[in-house]
Amino acid sequence: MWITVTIAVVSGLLASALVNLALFVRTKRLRRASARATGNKPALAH
Amino acid sequence: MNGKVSEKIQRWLLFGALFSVLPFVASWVLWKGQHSGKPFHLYFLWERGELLIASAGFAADAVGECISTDRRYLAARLWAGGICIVLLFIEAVWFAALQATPGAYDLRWITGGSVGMFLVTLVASGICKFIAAQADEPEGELTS
Repeated sequence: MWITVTIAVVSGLLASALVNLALFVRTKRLRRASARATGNKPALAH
Repeated sequence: MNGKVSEKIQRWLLFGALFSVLPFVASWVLWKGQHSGKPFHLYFLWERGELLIASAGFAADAVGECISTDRRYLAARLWAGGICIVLLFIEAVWFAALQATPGAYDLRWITGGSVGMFLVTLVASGICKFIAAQADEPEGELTS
């Protein structure tokens, strides 16, 4: 029983981590696109 | 991903993740040297959950990195760090259970579970490190 619960929890955690990463990358891309569209170009990365 | 972030992730992969399994590689080499010809099973290496210690170690390192940066990307860092803390807790409890009751668990479960936890922790810690590295970048640099 507890093995099933642990597997479910760990799978859920992995899925959450991946969704978090996807949302993070998407947000950054949207911010960059928005900055470019409005002409507020950020400083270039070194 | 810019050079600095990539460098941080690569450094963590090499010195955090890869080198943490080096003791097991050494154990495997020694075992092979002593028992040549005998079939090898993965649970010989971590039959009492030793791999969970390595996983817990780099999960804790990732959490430390995640909470020590400034307030940028707070929500993403909270999620990544929180997930690593829960994984760390599960690993600690499971390792304690294995130590307290040796022989009570099926070796296949210990092996599969340890490897599974290691891989999930590797991914979660990597995400943690990636977001923390992005948050460490100077303001205004948009690098992804």
